[in-house]
Amino acid sequence: MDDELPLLLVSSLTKHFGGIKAVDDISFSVKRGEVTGIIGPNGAGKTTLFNLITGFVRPDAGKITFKGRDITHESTANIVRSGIARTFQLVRPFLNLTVEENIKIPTILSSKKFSSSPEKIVKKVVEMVGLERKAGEKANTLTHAELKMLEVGRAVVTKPDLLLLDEPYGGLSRNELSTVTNVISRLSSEGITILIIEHRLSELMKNVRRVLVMDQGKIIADGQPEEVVRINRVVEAYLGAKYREVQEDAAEGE
Amino acid sequence: MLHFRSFRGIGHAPLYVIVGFITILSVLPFVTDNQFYRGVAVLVCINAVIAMAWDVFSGLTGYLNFGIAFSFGVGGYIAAYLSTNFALNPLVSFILSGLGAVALGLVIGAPSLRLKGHFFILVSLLVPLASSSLLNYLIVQDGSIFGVNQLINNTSYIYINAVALFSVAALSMYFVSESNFGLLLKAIRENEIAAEASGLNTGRYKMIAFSISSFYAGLAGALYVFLNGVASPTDFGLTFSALPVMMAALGGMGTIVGPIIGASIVEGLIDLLRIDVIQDARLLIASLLLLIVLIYAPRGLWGTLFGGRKLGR
Ligand SMILES: Nc1ncnc2c1ncn2[C@@H]1O[C@H](COP(=O)(O)OP(=O)(O)O)[C@@H](O)[C@H]1O
Ligand SMILES: [Mg+2]
Repeated sequence: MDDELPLLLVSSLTKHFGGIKAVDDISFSVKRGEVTGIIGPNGAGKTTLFNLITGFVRPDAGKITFKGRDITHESTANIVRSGIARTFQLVRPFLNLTVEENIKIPTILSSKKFSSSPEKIVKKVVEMVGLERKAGEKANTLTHAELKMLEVGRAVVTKPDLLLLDEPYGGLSRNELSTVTNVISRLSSEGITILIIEHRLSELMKNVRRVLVMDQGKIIADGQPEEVVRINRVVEAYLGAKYREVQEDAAEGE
Repeated sequence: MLHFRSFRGIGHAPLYVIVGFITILSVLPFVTDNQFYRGVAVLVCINAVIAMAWDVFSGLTGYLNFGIAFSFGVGGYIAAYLSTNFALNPLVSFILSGLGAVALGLVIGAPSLRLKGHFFILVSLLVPLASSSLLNYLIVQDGSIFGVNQLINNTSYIYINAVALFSVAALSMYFVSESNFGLLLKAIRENEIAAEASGLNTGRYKMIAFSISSFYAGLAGALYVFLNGVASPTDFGLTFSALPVMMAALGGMGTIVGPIIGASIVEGLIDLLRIDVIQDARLLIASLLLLIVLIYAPRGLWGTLFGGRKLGR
């Protein structure tokens, strides 16, 4: 038993698109400070789960509780301002605005009292995501990797309680991975609770202590990474070849 | 909410342009008492205000409004109605015209503004056309309904009002565009979903921007009716919907200063070269100019120099 209130509580959450059960009666909870990975094949419903939590998609059934408050039917703006931030699998920058402006926008909207001026906070975040040399440039001049980092910077600038990262490593080359990994571990050390959707297991494992495995809208496994990846059903049926690659990766790293 | 961004890159250039225009308009009557030039200046003011009004909503949020003539026409009709039926202070009826344009604009625009995507464009296209048809029908039924004749037609009075309206409109909308509020509107234009994910209630902000736009378009319409001495269904016509878009695109969308430049060029050229003898010359000239400019300067004249937006997303 755990008497501590979970930060996020998802119960019996369901969303169907026509005949597709994108999210099918999912329940789980996340404790404050946890860093949790969400893995599963394409189309498993991972992104839809994020869309449901952030109010972009309305559930057919079920309930989402954040910090003890029912947010199931709240607007996206209210959910975000209550302390949930997200990134998108396909980056969504404000292309004709500068890097600084991109990262500043959530601070204008946040109801939080910041410890220092918004300008300083924006500057710090721009540095943290490694874009200080591009601060005054328009986002349309950034590389894909830089846009990925911009997306993270924009999500974390308001110090959210819960951060949802949708494939933060997507499209990055091998030598770009560690930047993201370092930023995630730094955010986690600052106490931000994080959910990460990711295919690159070896990179993911550097930060997470818990993994949820999704398939066909269901959570089919939930546990420590080492345990989860040993469950035959997960390995054979859902990760298959992809996992074996990762196992080799991990072996290399040891 | 309106913390001003530090001016960076382009410096105070836009502000200088606006102040320059205000100065020229203010000294013009002292330099010449030529009524023709005054008339041109008043028309430039009216067109600049409606083009900026278009820009403050469409240029900043990216929601293209192809029916700003609706707010323009509503403002004009309210001004005409009030000034013929009530002995109101002209300033009061002026403000009421703007507010009326906001109220009617919101009644009709709000449902489609809540949605993302193209609904708003379609509604904006249809509404002024429907309004002008309805008014034409009403006039056929009872010619006296909106017959307006006892308007203020003192040219000095109209000139002063035009310059005052231009000054207030240009400065206020420029500061809106440079404020944090303006930055949030640009975020909607750049990526509405990301704006929501940043905590922005995009529906509410679109409606606020649309209200500012309708207000100034309504005031421009009121002034136009004072100038003409009559409110007519053509105030809702295609010309007053399309011209502001062209003027804004010509000068540079989303810059507020661009529309002033666009309006000056189109209106100034047409009047000073006296090519308005051709029916619909304004639209024709504006389209040709726009075509030529967009080939060489896709972001408009000002926008190409100082950063603006291309027409469309
Ligand atoms: N807006 C939508 N409309 C219709 N179907 C959708 C929508 N969003 C997701 N889906 C479908 O739901 C399923 C889960 O998609 P998604 O959540 O994106 O999976 P994942 O992120 O795990 O790859 C897929 O079959 C997808 O095609
Ligand atoms: Mg996905």
